[in-house]
Amino acid sequence: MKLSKEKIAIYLLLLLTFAKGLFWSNVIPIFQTPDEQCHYANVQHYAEPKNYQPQSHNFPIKETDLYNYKTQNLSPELMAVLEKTFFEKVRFNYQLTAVFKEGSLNGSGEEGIRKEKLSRFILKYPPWGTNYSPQYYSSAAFLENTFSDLSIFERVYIIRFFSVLIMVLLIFIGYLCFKELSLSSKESLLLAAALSFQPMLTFITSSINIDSMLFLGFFIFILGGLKFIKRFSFATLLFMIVGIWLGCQAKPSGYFMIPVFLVLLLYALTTNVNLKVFSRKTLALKNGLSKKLILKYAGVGTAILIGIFALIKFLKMSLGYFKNLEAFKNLPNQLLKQAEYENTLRRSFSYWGDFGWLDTYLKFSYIVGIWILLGISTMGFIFYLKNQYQEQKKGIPSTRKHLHQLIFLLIMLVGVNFMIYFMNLYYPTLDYQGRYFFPSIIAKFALIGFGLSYFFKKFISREQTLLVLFIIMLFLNMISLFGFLIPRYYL
Amino acid sequence: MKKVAIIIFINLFLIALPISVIYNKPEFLPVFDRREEMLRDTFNKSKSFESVSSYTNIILQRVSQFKPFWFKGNKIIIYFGIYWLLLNGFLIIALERKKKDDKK
Repeated sequence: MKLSKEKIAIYLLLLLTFAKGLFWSNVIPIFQTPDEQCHYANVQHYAEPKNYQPQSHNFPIKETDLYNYKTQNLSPELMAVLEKTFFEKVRFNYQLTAVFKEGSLNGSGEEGIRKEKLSRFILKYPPWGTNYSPQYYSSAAFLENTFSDLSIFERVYIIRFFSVLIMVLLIFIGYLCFKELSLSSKESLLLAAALSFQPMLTFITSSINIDSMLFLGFFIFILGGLKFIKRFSFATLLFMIVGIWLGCQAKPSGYFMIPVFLVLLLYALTTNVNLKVFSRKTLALKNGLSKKLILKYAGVGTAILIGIFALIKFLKMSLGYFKNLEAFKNLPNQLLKQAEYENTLRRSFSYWGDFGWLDTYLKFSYIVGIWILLGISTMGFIFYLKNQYQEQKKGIPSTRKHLHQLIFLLIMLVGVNFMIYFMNLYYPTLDYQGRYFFPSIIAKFALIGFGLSYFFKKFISREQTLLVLFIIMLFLNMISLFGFLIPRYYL
Repeated sequence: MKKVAIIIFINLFLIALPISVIYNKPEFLPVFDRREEMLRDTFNKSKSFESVSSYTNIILQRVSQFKPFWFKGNKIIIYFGIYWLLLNGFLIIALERKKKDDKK
Protein backbone atom coordinates (compact mmCIF):
# COMPACT_ATOMS: atom_id res chain seq x y z
CA MET A 1 0.00 0.00 0.00
CA LYS A 2 1.49 3.30 -1.05
CA LEU A 3 0.61 6.29 1.11
CA SER A 4 0.08 9.67 -0.49
CA LYS A 5 2.13 12.59 0.82
CA GLU A 6 -1.02 14.16 2.20
CA LYS A 7 -1.68 11.07 4.31
CA ILE A 8 1.93 10.84 5.46
CA ALA A 9 1.82 14.48 6.53
CA ILE A 10 -1.36 14.07 8.58
CA TYR A 11 -0.09 10.83 10.19
CA LEU A 12 3.10 12.64 11.05
CA LEU A 13 1.17 15.52 12.61
CA LEU A 14 -0.86 13.08 14.71
CA LEU A 15 2.30 11.28 15.84
CA LEU A 16 3.90 14.62 16.63
CA THR A 17 0.85 15.63 18.68
CA PHE A 18 1.12 12.36 20.58
CA ALA A 19 4.87 12.72 21.23
CA LYS A 20 4.39 16.34 22.34
CA GLY A 21 1.63 15.24 24.72
CA LEU A 22 3.80 12.48 26.18
CA PHE A 23 6.60 14.95 26.78
CA TRP A 24 4.33 17.51 28.43
CA SER A 25 2.55 14.93 30.58
CA ASN A 26 5.91 13.67 31.88
CA VAL A 27 7.16 17.14 32.66
CA ILE A 28 4.08 18.24 34.61
CA PRO A 29 4.52 16.99 38.21
CA ILE A 30 1.92 14.60 39.48
CA PHE A 31 -1.41 16.27 40.43
CA GLN A 32 -0.11 19.77 39.66
CA THR A 33 -2.88 20.53 37.16
CA PRO A 34 -6.34 21.91 38.01
CA ASP A 35 -8.38 19.40 40.04
CA GLU A 36 -6.34 16.44 38.79
CA GLN A 37 -6.37 14.69 42.17
CA CYS A 38 -10.19 14.99 42.30
CA HIS A 39 -10.53 13.50 38.82
CA TYR A 40 -8.16 10.70 39.75
CA ALA A 41 -10.15 10.03 42.94
CA ASN A 42 -13.22 9.63 40.76
CA VAL A 43 -11.34 7.26 38.44
CA GLN A 44 -10.41 5.11 41.44
CA HIS A 45 -14.05 5.11 42.53
CA TYR A 46 -15.13 3.92 39.07
CA ALA A 47 -12.42 1.24 39.27
CA GLU A 48 -13.89 -0.35 42.39
CA PRO A 49 -15.09 -3.93 41.89
CA LYS A 50 -18.85 -4.41 41.74
CA ASN A 51 -19.03 -6.15 45.09
CA TYR A 52 -16.71 -3.69 46.83
CA GLN A 53 -17.54 -3.27 50.51
CA PRO A 54 -16.19 -0.17 52.27
CA GLN A 55 -15.26 -0.40 55.94
CA SER A 56 -18.01 2.04 56.93
CA HIS A 57 -20.53 4.51 55.56
CA ASN A 58 -19.88 7.42 57.86
CA PHE A 59 -17.51 9.72 55.97
CA PRO A 60 -18.39 13.37 56.79
CA ILE A 61 -18.82 14.30 53.13
CA LYS A 62 -20.51 17.63 53.95
CA GLU A 63 -17.31 18.90 55.50
CA THR A 64 -15.38 18.50 52.25
CA ASP A 65 -13.34 21.52 51.26
CA LEU A 66 -12.11 21.73 47.66
CA TYR A 67 -8.90 23.42 48.73
CA ASN A 68 -8.05 21.13 51.62
CA TYR A 69 -7.32 17.59 50.50
CA LYS A 70 -7.30 16.33 54.07
CA THR A 71 -11.08 16.86 54.24
CA GLN A 72 -11.66 14.96 50.98
CA ASN A 73 -12.66 11.32 50.72
CA LEU A 74 -9.57 9.95 48.99
CA SER A 75 -8.03 6.48 48.92
CA PRO A 76 -5.13 5.88 51.38
CA GLU A 77 -2.80 5.53 48.40
CA LEU A 78 -3.79 8.87 46.88
CA MET A 79 -3.66 10.58 50.27
CA ALA A 80 -0.10 9.29 50.82
CA VAL A 81 1.05 10.65 47.45
CA LEU A 82 -0.42 14.09 48.11
CA GLU A 83 1.22 14.17 51.49
CA LYS A 84 4.65 12.91 50.51
CA THR A 85 5.02 14.95 47.33
CA PHE A 86 4.18 18.14 49.29
CA PHE A 87 1.20 18.66 47.01
CA GLU A 88 -0.42 21.40 49.05
CA LYS A 89 2.84 23.25 49.68
CA VAL A 90 3.81 23.36 46.02
CA ARG A 91 0.33 24.21 44.72
CA PHE A 92 -0.31 27.97 44.51
CA ASN A 93 3.08 28.68 46.06
CA TYR A 94 5.02 29.92 43.11
CA GLN A 95 8.27 30.22 45.03
CA LEU A 96 8.22 26.58 46.15
CA THR A 97 9.16 23.50 44.18
CA ALA A 98 9.06 19.87 45.18
CA VAL A 99 12.32 18.27 46.22
CA PHE A 100 13.40 16.10 43.34
CA LYS A 101 15.88 13.31 43.84
CA GLU A 102 18.01 11.89 41.11
CA GLY A 103 16.04 9.38 39.09
CA SER A 104 12.70 10.75 40.23
CA LEU A 105 10.20 13.06 38.63
CA ASN A 106 7.71 12.83 41.43
CA GLY A 107 9.38 14.46 44.34
CA SER A 108 10.66 13.13 47.61
CA GLY A 109 8.77 10.26 49.13
CA GLU A 110 8.39 8.51 45.80
CA GLU A 111 10.47 5.54 46.89
CA GLY A 112 8.43 5.06 50.06
CA ILE A 113 5.13 5.15 48.19
CA ARG A 114 6.38 2.62 45.66
CA LYS A 115 7.31 0.20 48.47
CA GLU A 116 4.08 0.63 50.41
CA LYS A 117 1.05 -1.18 49.08
CA LEU A 118 -1.80 1.01 50.21
CA SER A 119 -5.43 0.55 49.17
CA ARG A 120 -6.45 2.08 45.83
CA PHE A 121 -10.04 2.41 47.00
CA ILE A 122 -11.66 4.63 49.58
CA LEU A 123 -12.24 3.03 52.97
CA LYS A 124 -15.38 4.93 53.86
CA TYR A 125 -18.48 5.78 51.87
CA PRO A 126 -20.07 7.95 50.49
CA PRO A 127 -17.58 8.64 47.72
CA TRP A 128 -16.75 12.17 46.71
CA GLY A 129 -17.24 12.72 43.03
CA THR A 130 -19.34 14.01 40.18
CA ASN A 131 -21.79 12.44 37.78
CA TYR A 132 -20.10 14.13 34.85
CA SER A 133 -18.44 12.35 31.96
CA PRO A 134 -18.94 8.67 32.84
CA GLN A 135 -17.30 7.79 29.49
CA TYR A 136 -14.03 9.42 30.51
CA TYR A 137 -14.02 8.01 34.02
CA SER A 138 -14.96 4.46 33.03
CA SER A 139 -12.33 4.35 30.25
CA ALA A 140 -9.73 5.66 32.70
CA ALA A 141 -10.93 3.17 35.34
CA PHE A 142 -10.41 0.36 32.83
CA LEU A 143 -6.78 1.47 32.46
CA GLU A 144 -6.47 1.88 36.24
CA ASN A 145 -7.56 -1.76 36.75
CA THR A 146 -5.55 -3.13 33.83
CA PHE A 147 -2.35 -1.66 35.23
CA SER A 148 -3.22 -2.16 38.89
CA ASP A 149 0.09 -3.99 39.47
CA LEU A 150 2.06 -0.83 38.68
CA SER A 151 2.60 1.98 41.15
CA ILE A 152 0.24 4.96 41.35
CA PHE A 153 2.80 7.12 39.49
CA GLU A 154 2.76 4.89 36.42
CA ARG A 155 -1.02 4.56 36.52
CA VAL A 156 -1.51 8.32 36.64
CA TYR A 157 0.82 8.78 33.66
CA ILE A 158 -0.94 6.03 31.72
CA ILE A 159 -4.29 7.77 32.26
CA ARG A 160 -2.67 11.04 31.20
CA PHE A 161 -1.67 9.27 27.97
CA PHE A 162 -5.33 8.45 27.46
CA SER A 163 -6.06 12.21 27.53
CA VAL A 164 -3.21 12.70 25.06
CA LEU A 165 -4.87 10.17 22.75
CA ILE A 166 -8.08 12.21 22.92
CA MET A 167 -5.99 15.25 21.94
CA VAL A 168 -4.72 13.33 18.88
CA LEU A 169 -8.33 12.65 17.94
CA LEU A 170 -9.18 16.33 18.45
CA ILE A 171 -6.44 17.39 16.04
CA PHE A 172 -7.59 14.88 13.43
CA ILE A 173 -11.17 16.18 13.73
CA GLY A 174 -9.80 19.74 13.53
CA TYR A 175 -8.02 18.85 10.30
CA LEU A 176 -11.25 17.40 8.85
CA CYS A 177 -13.19 20.50 9.93
CA PHE A 178 -10.72 22.84 8.23
CA LYS A 179 -10.94 20.73 5.08
CA GLU A 180 -14.72 21.05 5.19
CA LEU A 181 -14.22 24.82 5.16
CA SER A 182 -12.79 24.60 1.64
CA LEU A 183 -9.18 24.93 2.74
CA SER A 184 -6.65 22.86 0.79
CA SER A 185 -5.13 19.82 2.51
CA LYS A 186 -1.89 21.71 3.06
CA GLU A 187 -3.67 24.72 4.57
CA SER A 188 -5.83 22.47 6.77
CA LEU A 189 -2.73 20.63 7.90
CA LEU A 190 -0.95 23.82 8.94
CA LEU A 191 -4.00 25.19 10.75
CA ALA A 192 -4.49 21.86 12.55
CA ALA A 193 -0.79 21.94 13.49
CA ALA A 194 -1.21 25.47 14.90
CA LEU A 195 -4.18 24.24 16.94
CA SER A 196 -2.16 21.26 18.17
CA PHE A 197 0.53 23.57 19.58
CA GLN A 198 -1.84 25.92 21.45
CA PRO A 199 -0.04 25.79 24.83
CA MET A 200 -3.02 25.73 27.18
CA LEU A 201 -4.87 23.12 25.13
CA THR A 202 -1.72 20.99 25.21
CA PHE A 203 -1.48 21.45 28.98
CA ILE A 204 -5.08 20.49 29.73
CA THR A 205 -5.07 17.48 27.42
CA SER A 206 -1.81 16.24 28.99
CA SER A 207 -3.45 15.78 32.37
CA ILE A 208 -6.32 13.81 33.86
CA ASN A 209 -9.29 16.03 33.16
CA ILE A 210 -12.81 15.37 31.86
CA ASP A 211 -12.63 18.56 29.81
CA SER A 212 -10.92 16.54 27.06
CA MET A 213 -14.14 14.59 26.61
CA LEU A 214 -16.18 17.81 26.49
CA PHE A 215 -13.90 19.17 23.76
CA LEU A 216 -14.26 15.89 21.87
CA GLY A 217 -18.05 16.17 21.98
CA PHE A 218 -17.98 19.73 20.67
CA PHE A 219 -15.40 18.98 17.98
CA ILE A 220 -17.45 16.04 16.65
CA PHE A 221 -20.55 18.24 16.70
CA ILE A 222 -18.81 21.05 14.81
CA LEU A 223 -17.52 18.60 12.20
CA GLY A 224 -21.03 17.19 11.81
CA GLY A 225 -22.49 20.71 11.57
CA LEU A 226 -20.03 21.82 8.89
CA LYS A 227 -20.68 18.67 6.85
CA PHE A 228 -24.42 19.00 7.39
CA ILE A 229 -24.47 22.52 5.95
CA LYS A 230 -22.56 21.33 2.89
CA ARG A 231 -24.55 18.20 2.21
CA PHE A 232 -27.29 16.58 4.20
CA SER A 233 -26.71 12.93 5.12
CA PHE A 234 -27.55 10.46 7.83
CA ALA A 235 -23.87 10.27 8.81
CA THR A 236 -23.71 14.02 9.50
CA LEU A 237 -26.75 13.75 11.76
CA LEU A 238 -25.12 10.87 13.56
CA PHE A 239 -21.97 12.92 14.06
CA MET A 240 -23.95 15.72 15.67
CA ILE A 241 -25.96 13.36 17.88
CA VAL A 242 -22.80 11.62 19.12
CA GLY A 243 -21.23 15.04 19.78
CA ILE A 244 -24.26 16.18 21.78
CA TRP A 245 -24.36 12.93 23.74
CA LEU A 246 -20.68 13.13 24.67
CA GLY A 247 -20.75 16.87 25.42
CA CYS A 248 -23.91 16.84 27.55
CA GLN A 249 -22.58 13.97 29.64
CA ALA A 250 -19.22 15.66 30.09
CA LYS A 251 -20.36 19.06 31.39
CA PRO A 252 -23.52 21.21 31.40
CA SER A 253 -22.04 23.56 28.80
CA GLY A 254 -22.55 20.68 26.36
CA TYR A 255 -26.27 21.48 26.40
CA PHE A 256 -25.57 24.46 24.20
CA MET A 257 -25.31 22.08 21.24
CA ILE A 258 -28.99 21.16 21.52
CA PRO A 259 -30.51 24.49 20.41
CA VAL A 260 -27.86 24.79 17.70
CA PHE A 261 -28.75 21.29 16.49
CA LEU A 262 -32.41 22.27 16.24
CA VAL A 263 -31.52 25.46 14.38
CA LEU A 264 -29.50 23.36 11.94
CA LEU A 265 -32.46 21.01 11.44
CA LEU A 266 -34.69 24.00 10.74
CA TYR A 267 -32.06 25.33 8.38
CA ALA A 268 -32.03 22.03 6.51
CA LEU A 269 -35.82 21.98 6.29
CA THR A 270 -35.97 25.49 4.88
CA THR A 271 -33.02 25.14 2.49
CA ASN A 272 -34.16 23.08 -0.45
CA VAL A 273 -30.56 22.64 -1.65
CA ASN A 274 -29.87 20.32 1.23
CA LEU A 275 -33.08 18.44 1.56
CA LYS A 276 -33.97 17.32 -1.90
CA VAL A 277 -35.17 14.13 -0.25
CA PHE A 278 -38.23 16.02 0.93
CA SER A 279 -39.34 17.25 -2.46
CA ARG A 280 -42.29 15.51 -4.05
CA LYS A 281 -40.27 14.31 -6.98
CA THR A 282 -37.78 12.50 -4.87
CA LEU A 283 -40.47 11.02 -2.73
CA ALA A 284 -40.78 8.78 -5.74
CA LEU A 285 -43.99 7.33 -4.54
CA LYS A 286 -44.81 6.19 -8.03
CA ASN A 287 -41.76 4.01 -8.17
CA GLY A 288 -41.87 2.99 -4.53
CA LEU A 289 -39.48 4.09 -1.82
CA SER A 290 -35.90 3.04 -2.24
CA LYS A 291 -33.98 1.56 0.68
CA LYS A 292 -31.69 4.56 0.72
CA LEU A 293 -34.62 6.93 0.92
CA ILE A 294 -36.25 4.97 3.75
CA LEU A 295 -32.98 5.09 5.63
CA LYS A 296 -32.76 8.84 5.12
CA TYR A 297 -36.31 9.35 6.39
CA ALA A 298 -35.63 7.10 9.36
CA GLY A 299 -32.49 9.12 10.04
CA VAL A 300 -34.28 12.47 9.91
CA GLY A 301 -37.17 11.14 12.00
CA THR A 302 -34.84 9.74 14.67
CA ALA A 303 -32.83 12.94 14.71
CA ILE A 304 -35.95 15.06 15.16
CA LEU A 305 -37.17 12.79 17.97
CA ILE A 306 -33.80 12.90 19.71
CA GLY A 307 -33.73 16.66 19.15
CA ILE A 308 -37.14 17.05 20.85
CA PHE A 309 -36.08 14.88 23.80
CA ALA A 310 -32.85 16.81 24.10
CA LEU A 311 -34.72 20.11 23.88
CA ILE A 312 -37.01 19.08 26.73
CA LYS A 313 -33.95 18.23 28.81
CA PHE A 314 -32.33 21.52 27.87
CA LEU A 315 -35.46 23.53 28.73
CA LYS A 316 -35.84 21.68 32.01
CA MET A 317 -32.27 22.52 32.90
CA SER A 318 -32.57 26.12 31.71
CA LEU A 319 -35.84 26.69 33.57
CA GLY A 320 -34.02 25.89 36.78
CA TYR A 321 -32.02 29.02 36.19
CA PHE A 322 -35.09 31.20 35.87
CA LYS A 323 -36.45 30.24 39.30
CA ASN A 324 -34.46 32.97 40.88
CA LEU A 325 -35.19 35.95 38.66
CA GLU A 326 -33.04 38.23 40.78
CA ALA A 327 -29.97 36.30 39.76
CA PHE A 328 -31.03 36.38 36.13
CA LYS A 329 -31.34 40.15 36.29
CA ASN A 330 -27.67 40.20 37.12
CA LEU A 331 -26.67 38.58 33.84
CA PRO A 332 -26.12 41.83 31.89
CA ASN A 333 -24.07 43.23 34.78
CA GLN A 334 -22.06 40.06 34.93
CA LEU A 335 -21.37 40.14 31.21
CA LEU A 336 -20.27 43.77 31.47
CA LYS A 337 -18.08 42.92 34.45
CA GLN A 338 -16.42 40.16 32.48
CA ALA A 339 -15.69 42.62 29.69
CA GLU A 340 -13.62 44.75 32.09
CA TYR A 341 -9.91 44.95 31.42
CA GLU A 342 -8.78 43.04 34.53
CA ASN A 343 -11.12 40.12 33.90
CA THR A 344 -10.35 40.02 30.19
CA LEU A 345 -6.64 39.91 30.96
CA ARG A 346 -7.05 37.09 33.47
CA ARG A 347 -9.19 35.13 31.03
CA SER A 348 -6.64 35.65 28.28
CA PHE A 349 -3.84 34.33 30.46
CA SER A 350 -5.78 31.21 31.32
CA TYR A 351 -6.77 30.77 27.66
CA TRP A 352 -3.27 30.96 26.21
CA GLY A 353 -0.96 29.98 29.03
CA ASP A 354 -1.53 29.69 32.77
CA PHE A 355 -0.07 26.42 33.93
CA GLY A 356 0.09 24.30 37.05
CA TRP A 357 -2.73 25.21 39.39
CA LEU A 358 -3.14 28.36 37.27
CA ASP A 359 -0.26 29.94 39.14
CA THR A 360 2.33 29.91 36.36
CA TYR A 361 1.30 32.36 33.71
CA LEU A 362 2.98 33.75 30.60
CA LYS A 363 4.51 37.21 30.50
CA PHE A 364 2.16 40.14 29.91
CA SER A 365 4.01 41.08 26.69
CA TYR A 366 3.09 37.69 25.16
CA ILE A 367 -0.59 38.35 25.80
CA VAL A 368 -0.28 41.79 24.22
CA GLY A 369 1.24 40.12 21.14
CA ILE A 370 -1.64 37.65 21.03
CA TRP A 371 -4.18 40.46 21.35
CA ILE A 372 -2.59 42.28 18.40
CA LEU A 373 -2.75 39.06 16.38
CA LEU A 374 -6.39 38.55 17.36
CA GLY A 375 -7.22 42.19 16.55
CA ILE A 376 -5.74 41.89 13.07
CA SER A 377 -7.47 38.58 12.40
CA THR A 378 -10.82 39.98 13.59
CA MET A 379 -10.52 42.89 11.18
CA GLY A 380 -9.45 40.55 8.40
CA PHE A 381 -12.33 38.22 9.16
CA ILE A 382 -14.91 41.02 9.00
CA PHE A 383 -13.61 42.02 5.56
CA TYR A 384 -13.54 38.38 4.49
CA LEU A 385 -17.13 37.90 5.63
CA LYS A 386 -18.21 41.01 3.73
CA ASN A 387 -16.43 39.74 0.63
CA GLN A 388 -18.08 36.32 0.91
CA TYR A 389 -21.49 37.97 1.33
CA GLN A 390 -20.99 39.93 -1.88
CA GLU A 391 -19.79 36.81 -3.67
CA GLN A 392 -22.78 34.75 -2.61
CA LYS A 393 -25.09 37.47 -3.89
CA LYS A 394 -23.84 36.52 -7.33
CA GLY A 395 -25.60 33.21 -6.77
CA ILE A 396 -22.70 30.75 -6.51
CA PRO A 397 -24.06 27.90 -4.31
CA SER A 398 -20.63 26.87 -2.96
CA THR A 399 -19.95 30.43 -1.70
CA ARG A 400 -23.36 30.53 -0.06
CA LYS A 401 -22.69 27.29 1.79
CA HIS A 402 -19.26 28.53 2.85
CA LEU A 403 -20.84 31.70 4.22
CA HIS A 404 -23.36 29.63 6.15
CA GLN A 405 -20.54 27.51 7.56
CA LEU A 406 -18.75 30.64 8.76
CA ILE A 407 -21.93 31.91 10.41
CA PHE A 408 -22.33 28.52 12.10
CA LEU A 409 -18.78 28.82 13.48
CA LEU A 410 -19.52 32.34 14.73
CA ILE A 411 -22.66 31.07 16.49
CA MET A 412 -20.60 28.35 18.14
CA LEU A 413 -17.93 30.80 19.21
CA VAL A 414 -20.20 33.48 20.64
CA GLY A 415 -22.80 31.00 21.92
CA VAL A 416 -20.35 28.89 23.91
CA ASN A 417 -19.03 32.05 25.57
CA PHE A 418 -22.54 33.15 26.48
CA MET A 419 -23.42 29.66 27.71
CA ILE A 420 -20.47 29.65 30.11
CA TYR A 421 -21.65 32.90 31.73
CA PHE A 422 -25.25 31.71 31.73
CA MET A 423 -24.34 28.38 33.38
CA ASN A 424 -22.50 30.15 36.16
CA LEU A 425 -25.12 32.79 36.78
CA TYR A 426 -25.28 32.00 40.48
CA TYR A 427 -21.57 32.35 41.01
CA PRO A 428 -20.79 36.01 40.37
CA THR A 429 -17.42 35.66 42.07
CA LEU A 430 -16.40 32.72 39.90
CA ASP A 431 -13.21 33.09 37.96
CA TYR A 432 -13.98 32.30 34.32
CA GLN A 433 -11.03 30.26 33.27
CA GLY A 434 -9.93 30.33 29.66
CA ARG A 435 -10.22 26.58 29.23
CA TYR A 436 -14.00 26.77 29.75
CA PHE A 437 -14.10 28.33 26.27
CA PHE A 438 -12.03 25.63 24.56
CA PRO A 439 -15.06 23.72 23.23
CA SER A 440 -15.26 26.34 20.49
CA ILE A 441 -11.50 26.70 19.95
CA ILE A 442 -11.79 25.01 16.56
CA ALA A 443 -14.10 27.84 15.45
CA LYS A 444 -11.70 30.41 16.87
CA PHE A 445 -8.72 29.00 15.00
CA ALA A 446 -10.68 28.77 11.74
CA LEU A 447 -11.68 32.42 12.07
CA ILE A 448 -8.11 33.45 12.98
CA GLY A 449 -6.83 31.54 9.95
CA PHE A 450 -9.32 33.11 7.52
CA GLY A 451 -8.97 36.57 9.06
CA LEU A 452 -5.17 36.67 9.05
CA SER A 453 -4.81 35.26 5.56
CA TYR A 454 -7.40 37.71 4.18
CA PHE A 455 -5.71 40.64 5.92
CA PHE A 456 -2.27 39.80 4.50
CA LYS A 457 -3.45 38.43 1.15
CA LYS A 458 -1.72 41.21 -0.80
CA PHE A 459 1.65 40.29 0.67
CA ILE A 460 1.66 36.53 1.20
CA SER A 461 -0.47 33.55 0.25
CA ARG A 462 -2.90 31.92 2.65
CA GLU A 463 -0.62 28.92 2.93
CA GLN A 464 2.32 31.09 3.99
CA THR A 465 0.19 32.97 6.53
CA LEU A 466 -0.91 29.69 8.08
CA LEU A 467 2.69 28.50 8.14
CA VAL A 468 3.65 31.65 10.10
CA LEU A 469 0.70 31.07 12.46
CA PHE A 470 1.89 27.49 13.03
CA ILE A 471 5.46 28.65 13.75
CA ILE A 472 4.15 31.27 16.22
CA MET A 473 2.15 28.59 18.05
CA LEU A 474 5.12 26.19 17.97
CA PHE A 475 7.40 28.80 19.58
CA LEU A 476 4.76 29.78 22.12
CA ASN A 477 4.39 26.12 23.04
CA MET A 478 8.14 25.64 23.48
CA ILE A 479 8.58 28.86 25.45
CA SER A 480 5.70 27.86 27.74
CA LEU A 481 7.36 24.54 28.44
CA PHE A 482 11.01 25.52 28.74
CA GLY A 483 10.67 29.09 29.91
CA PHE A 484 7.79 28.77 32.35
CA LEU A 485 6.63 25.28 33.28
CA ILE A 486 10.00 23.56 33.80
CA PRO A 487 11.63 26.43 35.78
CA ARG A 488 8.46 26.74 37.89
CA TYR A 489 8.67 23.19 39.19
CA TYR A 490 12.29 22.18 38.82
CA LEU A 491 14.40 25.26 39.33
CA MET B 1 16.89 27.28 0.40
CA LYS B 2 14.04 28.92 2.27
CA LYS B 3 12.96 25.53 3.57
CA VAL B 4 16.42 24.79 4.98
CA ALA B 5 16.59 28.24 6.58
CA ILE B 6 13.21 27.78 8.30
CA ILE B 7 14.15 24.32 9.56
CA ILE B 8 17.52 25.52 10.87
CA PHE B 9 15.87 28.51 12.55
CA ILE B 10 13.29 26.35 14.32
CA ASN B 11 15.93 23.82 15.37
CA LEU B 12 18.21 26.49 16.73
CA PHE B 13 15.34 27.84 18.76
CA LEU B 14 14.45 24.36 19.98
CA ILE B 15 18.03 23.67 21.08
CA ALA B 16 18.74 27.15 22.44
CA LEU B 17 15.73 27.13 24.76
CA PRO B 18 16.67 24.23 27.06
CA ILE B 19 20.34 25.23 26.94
CA SER B 20 19.47 28.73 28.05
CA VAL B 21 17.39 27.29 30.88
CA ILE B 22 20.28 25.15 32.12
CA TYR B 23 23.30 27.34 31.52
CA ASN B 24 22.01 30.85 31.31
CA LYS B 25 21.72 33.02 34.31
CA PRO B 26 18.45 31.94 35.90
CA GLU B 27 17.46 35.50 36.64
CA PHE B 28 16.74 35.92 32.93
CA LEU B 29 13.84 33.55 33.26
CA PRO B 30 10.44 35.16 33.92
CA VAL B 31 9.86 32.70 36.73
CA PHE B 32 12.59 34.43 38.74
CA ASP B 33 11.23 37.88 38.04
CA ARG B 34 8.05 36.84 39.76
CA ARG B 35 9.82 35.11 42.63
CA GLU B 36 12.01 38.11 43.14
CA GLU B 37 8.93 40.30 43.17
CA MET B 38 7.38 38.09 45.84
CA LEU B 39 10.52 38.18 47.92
CA ARG B 40 10.77 41.93 47.55
CA ASP B 41 7.22 42.16 48.89
CA THR B 42 8.19 39.97 51.84
CA PHE B 43 11.31 42.05 52.33
CA ASN B 44 9.34 45.29 52.30
CA LYS B 45 6.93 43.88 54.81
CA SER B 46 9.48 42.36 57.15
CA LYS B 47 12.25 44.93 56.51
CA SER B 48 14.74 42.14 56.74
CA PHE B 49 17.79 41.52 54.59
CA GLU B 50 17.70 37.82 55.33
CA SER B 51 15.11 37.05 52.70
CA VAL B 52 17.24 38.53 49.92
CA SER B 53 20.31 36.51 50.79
CA SER B 54 18.29 33.34 51.22
CA TYR B 55 16.83 33.98 47.79
CA THR B 56 20.29 33.79 46.23
CA ASN B 57 20.92 30.56 48.12
CA ILE B 58 17.66 29.11 46.91
CA ILE B 59 18.60 29.86 43.30
CA LEU B 60 22.01 28.29 43.67
CA GLN B 61 20.53 25.20 45.27
CA ARG B 62 17.95 24.86 42.58
CA VAL B 63 20.42 25.13 39.75
CA SER B 64 22.29 22.19 41.22
CA GLN B 65 19.02 20.32 41.64
CA PHE B 66 17.99 20.94 38.09
CA LYS B 67 20.43 18.50 36.53
CA PRO B 68 18.75 15.37 37.90
CA PHE B 69 15.66 16.40 35.99
CA TRP B 70 17.45 15.99 32.69
CA PHE B 71 19.39 12.93 33.67
CA LYS B 72 16.62 11.31 35.68
CA GLY B 73 15.82 8.07 33.88
CA ASN B 74 16.28 8.53 30.21
CA LYS B 75 12.53 8.64 29.70
CA ILE B 76 12.32 12.40 29.34
CA ILE B 77 15.26 12.53 26.96
CA ILE B 78 13.77 9.76 24.84
CA TYR B 79 10.39 11.52 24.66
CA PHE B 80 12.07 14.77 23.76
CA GLY B 81 14.16 12.99 21.10
CA ILE B 82 11.10 11.42 19.50
CA TYR B 83 9.31 14.77 19.64
CA TRP B 84 12.26 16.53 18.02
CA LEU B 85 12.58 13.92 15.24
CA LEU B 86 8.88 13.99 14.45
CA LEU B 87 8.82 17.77 14.45
CA ASN B 88 11.63 17.84 11.91
CA GLY B 89 9.95 15.17 9.82
CA PHE B 90 6.73 17.15 9.84
CA LEU B 91 8.50 20.36 8.90
CA ILE B 92 10.34 18.70 6.02
CA ILE B 93 7.15 17.20 4.62
CA ALA B 94 5.04 20.33 5.16
CA LEU B 95 7.59 22.57 3.50
CA GLU B 96 8.46 20.11 0.74
CA ARG B 97 4.89 19.86 -0.37
CA LYS B 98 4.74 23.61 -0.60
CA LYS B 99 7.75 23.63 -2.91
CA LYS B 100 6.10 21.08 -5.15
CA ASP B 101 2.88 23.09 -5.26
CA ASP B 102 4.86 26.20 -6.16
CA LYS B 103 6.35 24.45 -9.18
CA LYS B 104 2.86 23.60 -10.40
